[in-house]
Amino acid sequence: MLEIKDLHVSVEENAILKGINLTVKPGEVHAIMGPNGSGKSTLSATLAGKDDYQVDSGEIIFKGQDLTELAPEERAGEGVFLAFQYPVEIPGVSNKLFLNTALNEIRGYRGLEPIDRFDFEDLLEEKAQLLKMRPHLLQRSVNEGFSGGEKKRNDILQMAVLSPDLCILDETDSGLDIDALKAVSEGVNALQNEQRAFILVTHYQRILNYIKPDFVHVLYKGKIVKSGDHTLAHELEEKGYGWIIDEE
Amino acid sequence: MDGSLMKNRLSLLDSFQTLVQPNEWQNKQWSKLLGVGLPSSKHEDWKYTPFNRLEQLELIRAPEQPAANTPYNEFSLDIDAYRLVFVDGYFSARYSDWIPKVRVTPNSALSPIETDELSRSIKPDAFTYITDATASCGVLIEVEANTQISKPIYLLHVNSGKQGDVSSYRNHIEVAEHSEINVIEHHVSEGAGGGVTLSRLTQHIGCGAHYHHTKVIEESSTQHHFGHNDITINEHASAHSCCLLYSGQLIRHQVSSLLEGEQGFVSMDSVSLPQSEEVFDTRTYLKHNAPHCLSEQNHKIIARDQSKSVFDGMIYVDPVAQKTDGQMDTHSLILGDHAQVNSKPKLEIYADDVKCSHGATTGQIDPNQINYLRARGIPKQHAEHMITSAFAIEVAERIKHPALRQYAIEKINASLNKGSEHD
Repeated sequence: MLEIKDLHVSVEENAILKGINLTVKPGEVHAIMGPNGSGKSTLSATLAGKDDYQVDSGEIIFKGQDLTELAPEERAGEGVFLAFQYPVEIPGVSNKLFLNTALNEIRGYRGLEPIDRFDFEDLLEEKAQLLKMRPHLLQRSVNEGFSGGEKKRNDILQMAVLSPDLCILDETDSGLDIDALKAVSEGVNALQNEQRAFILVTHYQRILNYIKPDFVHVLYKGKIVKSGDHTLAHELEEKGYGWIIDEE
Repeated sequence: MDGSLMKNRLSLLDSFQTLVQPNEWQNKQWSKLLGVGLPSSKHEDWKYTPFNRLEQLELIRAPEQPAANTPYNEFSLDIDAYRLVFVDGYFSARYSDWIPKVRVTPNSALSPIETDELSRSIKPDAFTYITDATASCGVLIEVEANTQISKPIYLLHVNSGKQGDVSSYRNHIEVAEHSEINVIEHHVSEGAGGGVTLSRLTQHIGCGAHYHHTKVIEESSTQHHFGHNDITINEHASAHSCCLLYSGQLIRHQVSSLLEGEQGFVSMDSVSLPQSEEVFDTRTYLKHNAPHCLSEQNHKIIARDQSKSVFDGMIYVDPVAQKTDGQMDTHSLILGDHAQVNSKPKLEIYADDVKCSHGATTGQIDPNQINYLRARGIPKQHAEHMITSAFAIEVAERIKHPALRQYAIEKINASLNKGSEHD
């Protein structure tokens, strides 16, 4: 589904990613871990197509197409979804209108008709229940006045409604207390299926207690220096990143 | 003010003088103007109000004409309302609706004493005097006590808009105690030759009455519009005012409010959407003159192209107005590279137990918001439109009447779409 080949990315002419290789297949859950400054967030921002992230060389092939050629909204149309580390507040735009617009834009990109208003209501209600979102949050402006946990859960709700094929969670666990982390994880787990792949970008092993990865990769100085199964995460939890860095 | 300010405005002053109405009260207003003079561009409150185009016009009074000669129906909002039609300020009883429990009297039928009583300005300035002195027509609208009028009262003002035509008018609304009404004031220009609208509306809200007012300025792109509305709010009464500045070459609009009795409430909101080379100047003056009153203000400006806009607001709290709660917010979005916004919120507080604050922001669309929407599949231009329109609609959402609220929202969207077509 996703193939990253020798990806080099720079931000403001500083090389951050220096040759990333990663293959993700449908249904897989990959965790990307690493110390601060290793390039984790750059990787997720590059996948989502954020401005200012310059791909110097390498390829990101998603379902046979080069993602680097596509604008962020086109990537979303193709089925890439990034859950943000810091979801943005958008005053005045109701959560519901936002979701409806996003869904219809993505449907339009895929050549589908806009969703029927009542079908949308049903879909939204179903997904909100799945994620245990309080209904009044749908009427409120996007993320405005939401708690940290509500913002992250709102991102997962968007994921549920837009139903992407590749979900990238950028430090979704940061700033969440244990209850919020559990709720978000349950949401993500409920969205797992054989077609959908996940990339969890995280500093801590903590979220991996709730979402079990098939693969764990350690990112250090812009490269993946070690890959393994979920036991690698536990090893990192016990020993820290030091032993891998020393091996380098 | 300084009489010497008059010098460089002499020709303009002469032009207006020819329009002064021949009666004692209006002559007195003209004398007051002569006392303060026409402000020059150096005057702090007037330096963003360009008079150069106005000074080039040969001003004449727009001649009275039958409403049937104007396409007033084409301009009329499609809202279920009691409509009063005014052409260049002249009230057309024949084409206006009869409103139950409301009396409409032409100003000409009022005695000088009544006129004086009704016409006291809360915060007079040069243009309130000019309008008062030159207003050729207008009506007094009186709402009986303990009356709720479900349909809005719609004042449709069609101005000729011919070059140099001055449409000068002054209306009054008296809402007696414990009544509730909803008023729409709509100003349009029939032609686009470059006329001048001078408009005043004074509103007295009786004890325990509730008043909702929306003013829509939708003049031609060559029209000058000078408007100044006064709202006096008595005890336990409330007034909600929202002004929508959509189009006009130069709009200078002020709402002055006076909280005159305890437990009064006033909100003064505005949405200003200047584009191309339009200059929109929104002003408020609010005097808290009684204890335990509450005021709210929410002003939004979206400045496009080379437009210039101003927000100037003053909250004055009198020593007697203890426990005042006053909030004034003004937020501006600058979308044009050459657009300008000047915001000046002011507080003058002479009571010691009050809660008053103001907030002002001016900026561009936050790129993080655009990125967020794009990451969810919404293309850039659509994302920008969503954010800008939400910015302005936040104010329109506060309009109580559903059909009018919907109209305001549609107008905002239409104006912003029109803007993006230029891109």
